[in-house]
Amino acid sequence: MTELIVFIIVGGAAVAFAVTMLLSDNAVHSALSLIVTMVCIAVLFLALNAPFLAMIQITVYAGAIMVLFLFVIMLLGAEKLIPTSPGEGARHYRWFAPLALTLTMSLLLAGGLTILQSQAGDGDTQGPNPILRVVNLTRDGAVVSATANGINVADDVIGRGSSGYIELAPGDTDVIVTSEDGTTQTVSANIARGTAHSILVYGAGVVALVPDDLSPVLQDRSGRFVVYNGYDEPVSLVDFGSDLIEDDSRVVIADIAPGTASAPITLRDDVNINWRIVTTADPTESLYPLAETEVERDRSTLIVVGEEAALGETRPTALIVTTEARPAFGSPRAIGYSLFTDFLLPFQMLALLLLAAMVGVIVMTHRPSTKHIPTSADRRRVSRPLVNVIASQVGHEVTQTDAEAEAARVALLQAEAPEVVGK
Amino acid sequence: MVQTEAYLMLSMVLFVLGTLGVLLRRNAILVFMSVELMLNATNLALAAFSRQWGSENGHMFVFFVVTVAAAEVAVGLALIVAIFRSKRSIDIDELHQLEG
Repeated sequence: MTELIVFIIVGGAAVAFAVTMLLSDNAVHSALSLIVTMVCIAVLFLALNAPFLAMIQITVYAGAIMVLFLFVIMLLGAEKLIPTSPGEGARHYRWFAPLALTLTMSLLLAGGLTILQSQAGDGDTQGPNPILRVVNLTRDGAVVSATANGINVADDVIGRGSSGYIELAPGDTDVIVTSEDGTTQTVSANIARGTAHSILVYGAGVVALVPDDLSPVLQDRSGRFVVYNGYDEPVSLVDFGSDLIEDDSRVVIADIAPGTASAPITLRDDVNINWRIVTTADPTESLYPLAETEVERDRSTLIVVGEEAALGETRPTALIVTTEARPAFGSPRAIGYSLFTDFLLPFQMLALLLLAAMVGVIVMTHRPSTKHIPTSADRRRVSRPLVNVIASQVGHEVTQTDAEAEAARVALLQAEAPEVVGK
Repeated sequence: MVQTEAYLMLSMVLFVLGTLGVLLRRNAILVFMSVELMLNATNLALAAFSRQWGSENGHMFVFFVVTVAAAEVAVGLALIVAIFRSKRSIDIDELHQLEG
């Protein structure tokens, strides 16, 4: 409801100031109205979960671009350059205004009807497509293939490894996993939009579909941990603490029932951890040490506990799979991630375009200098009348006799001397 | 939660206003400002669709449109300054040397 009120007020202001921009006679007033419209659109970006775009809108549009406009308007003195009555040129285009009005109004009508008839806006917003991966805990048996609704999720996932995420269509999904020995397992689930799942393969060909929590880690410098128990009795995750201090062990996640995943826990990355998986029945007996685990910030870690067959006997094991948590929608982090992965080439092209535009602007506005640089011929032309000046001072022609000519030459040299030195 | 439809309608109204400005105003600087308004209207539609589908690609397009608009404004205003120098006018109706 609040969003609707904000939308109506801000959207109305955007339209009102756009109309003001169109109708204003003074170009400066138009520019100021456009700035207000752009700020209104920035507020709407905030309402659309796009805080980064809202910031760009204000800094680049309302800041840089509009300042450039105002600068040019004031540089040219173009506030009221166009007379209100049609000039000489406008007479040719008198038929144009009604045509333009008709065209734009029909565009508005056609577009409005299309939007109203479309299904674009009904219902809630929809998240991105769900994603799926394979985590194989068995040591020997490679997962030959895994398909979901006939779409291949992964091929040849080696033992104790995981595949990357694959995007799927949402809805009821049948996951079929084929093991190396030819056996197939099927799991069915309804997979919603915006979710992530792992297909776990562990023990004697058991397959489970576990949801992954890839939502942004909200605490600073923290990582998220989830433990899935594929063992046949309840297990706990215990931090045994420092080896130097006796009895400082504590339970991190207690009593995870077989076949279930624990609730996620979030830990800061500056804590030292010395984790072990223990059975709930005997917390002092370590099933599997996780001593080398570290908290990685902004990452979601799945610890799968299970059994593996090795050398004719089964023994407990665990596998740690760490995934980058998704950045929050529309955040600068998400935009940056997108920019430097999927959109790197367009981004670089854009940099080239900006460079070309900059060079183009410099070339277009460059005007060859009209300032005259004096040459030696110019100096001659200036100094020659000096002879006449001297003649008028002396009272007769300086070149009358040889002696007088010599005197005049000396006088001329003296007059020119500072200039020669000046060279 | 405001529906995507509402954002699209607002975006289209702003776009049509921008079109009117481009077609009817005779001050070249105002024509440029109207083009900016049209670009802003499309940005709003892109951001609305982006929220609707939960995908960041729309945000990326808005980012690129804003950057290209900055380059376009720089070149366009340089053109206007150059035209003003030679013709002492930025009335676009006076610029019809190219007509046959």
